Amino acid sequence: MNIAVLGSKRVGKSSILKVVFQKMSPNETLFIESTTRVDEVKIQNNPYTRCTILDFPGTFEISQMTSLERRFLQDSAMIIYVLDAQDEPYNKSLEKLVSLMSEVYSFNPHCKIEVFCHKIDGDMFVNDDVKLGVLNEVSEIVRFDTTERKLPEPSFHLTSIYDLSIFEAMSKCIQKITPGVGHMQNLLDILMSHCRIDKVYVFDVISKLYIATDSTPVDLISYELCSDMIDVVIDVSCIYGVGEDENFNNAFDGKSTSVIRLDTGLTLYLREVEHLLALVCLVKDDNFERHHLIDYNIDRFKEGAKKILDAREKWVKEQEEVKG
Amino acid sequence: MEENDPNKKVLLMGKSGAGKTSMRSIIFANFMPKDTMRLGFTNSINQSNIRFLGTLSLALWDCGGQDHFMQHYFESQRDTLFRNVQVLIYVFDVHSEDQRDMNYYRSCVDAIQDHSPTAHIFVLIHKMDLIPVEKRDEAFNKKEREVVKNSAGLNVICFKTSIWDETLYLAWSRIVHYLIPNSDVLTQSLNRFCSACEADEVVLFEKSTFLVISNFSSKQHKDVHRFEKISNIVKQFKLSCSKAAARFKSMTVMNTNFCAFVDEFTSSTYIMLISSDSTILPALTQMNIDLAKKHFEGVVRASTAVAQ
Repeated sequence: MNIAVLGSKRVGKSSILKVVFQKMSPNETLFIESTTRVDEVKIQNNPYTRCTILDFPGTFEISQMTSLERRFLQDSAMIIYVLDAQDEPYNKSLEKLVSLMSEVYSFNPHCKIEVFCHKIDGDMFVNDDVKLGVLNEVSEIVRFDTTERKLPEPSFHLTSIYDLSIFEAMSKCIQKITPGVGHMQNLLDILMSHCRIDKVYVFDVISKLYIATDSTPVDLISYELCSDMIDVVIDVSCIYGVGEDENFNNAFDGKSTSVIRLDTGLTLYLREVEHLLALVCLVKDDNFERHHLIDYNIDRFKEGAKKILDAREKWVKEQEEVKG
Repeated sequence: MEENDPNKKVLLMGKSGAGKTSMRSIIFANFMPKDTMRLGFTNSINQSNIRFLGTLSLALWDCGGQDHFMQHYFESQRDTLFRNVQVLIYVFDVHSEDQRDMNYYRSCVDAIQDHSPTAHIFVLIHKMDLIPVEKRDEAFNKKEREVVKNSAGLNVICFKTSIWDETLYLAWSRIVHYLIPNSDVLTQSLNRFCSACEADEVVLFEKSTFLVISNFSSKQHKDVHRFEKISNIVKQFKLSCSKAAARFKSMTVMNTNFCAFVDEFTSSTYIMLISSDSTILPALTQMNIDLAKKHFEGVVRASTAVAQ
């Protein structure tokens, strides 16, 4: 599965990828050199996050694309178009987006397009109203152009590398093109209602993107807490939980479990689901009393998730055979 | 008399821009390292009283390091500033080659010798993060030699520190250790508690700063800096909890090899207990911790009590 990342020069395409997938700290991204040719980033953290991300140079023009670039775009299941929200006006960049869309749909009609209104940080965007204003403005312009040309409308995300919004947007994007996520979500909904869980995520431990969550809306606060909890669990396990000749990968194993109690009456609970996949949930203290029941239900969830995964693997293999 | 005074005077000195206020803010005021960029320079002396371990009170004198303040300290304020000092912390920027810095240090040592000869002196070689990893030891050793040469034969302990990793906690944990009057009492009690729980190790952290107060290990561990790392990890998590308007009460982390408990312990401390024996049920250890709380409340108080 390929995801192509496009956008004008210096809008932060490579920075996004470095921060999300290569653990670079946001401050260091200032020193990234500009990308001159299409960079391939292969992500293979676990069976649920497996994709190749194509980082296009900012100088890329759809009208002058090479045959190689055309093939990349043809194979992409999704295009992420990054827009610099601090660089007004947006018209020129959005014009580019629309011409890109009409070109891509001509040879890859199933491609999904996501627009990141990026760099929503700094003094300009302290106020939430300003952020929403940007979102409205951009989607308005794009909607006008796309209905005119009878193109499907893309989705929009407000992102910044200085908080978790970029992780959230990236999670949503990857979920959109991963088959079987809907079934996972159903399973999580069932788990949630039976255990009276407030919110549940399934995390890729390495990138801290969530692979699936229940159907209630995601709020950044709970996402951040859960994501920080994974940091704590991994860091502590790296100190005490690995033997002499083991490395980071052994820190998170089949018995990895963690409970964090907060004074607001919430408990954070983490369990391993699969290799490098963690289920993290927020439960009210009262509902956490019957801890063993939650454990039992999570075990059943694991079985279900395994079946979904097996079915998907089979499907992927079949698809490849058809292609080959 | 100075040893028994419950008000412990701590002088924090060093050249302007060395990072004194930054490190103080991270340790005692829960700043995130990146937030320290916003701090301005310290005007003259910033005095703050910090409650530590319930009964101890640290009078932290953060002395602004600009040249004209420095001259004041050694001339008109010399008597008041350097009297009754328990601990002098002098911060060097590892990058700076300025000879004046060393001269100021020299003057500090002289003044301490005159007015508070029993004071402990710590030198922090700060901003180590700006130096490539492989050259850090070399740079540190060079600076340390220089410092020792200028210390007039007094006993000086040097640390390399950086606000971006656990080295800051290592240095400050060692410093506060000198400020706790009866820390032996604590270590002995922890020893007994550790063997009663058949745990690998037990560590006591101060509640608000998460500095290591005392620890006891029954097993060797390869990582000697693990406590400071834990301080750093837990403190970061505490800060992210406060963003969600919450405070964490306890946490357990386990995998096949170990089980770690971090729990509110006495009114001024957190405890961490590590157990690698999988036959001991976590619930049992948790109960042991809960039962020990009351006893340790007294032990902590005794350890900070002033000898009569």
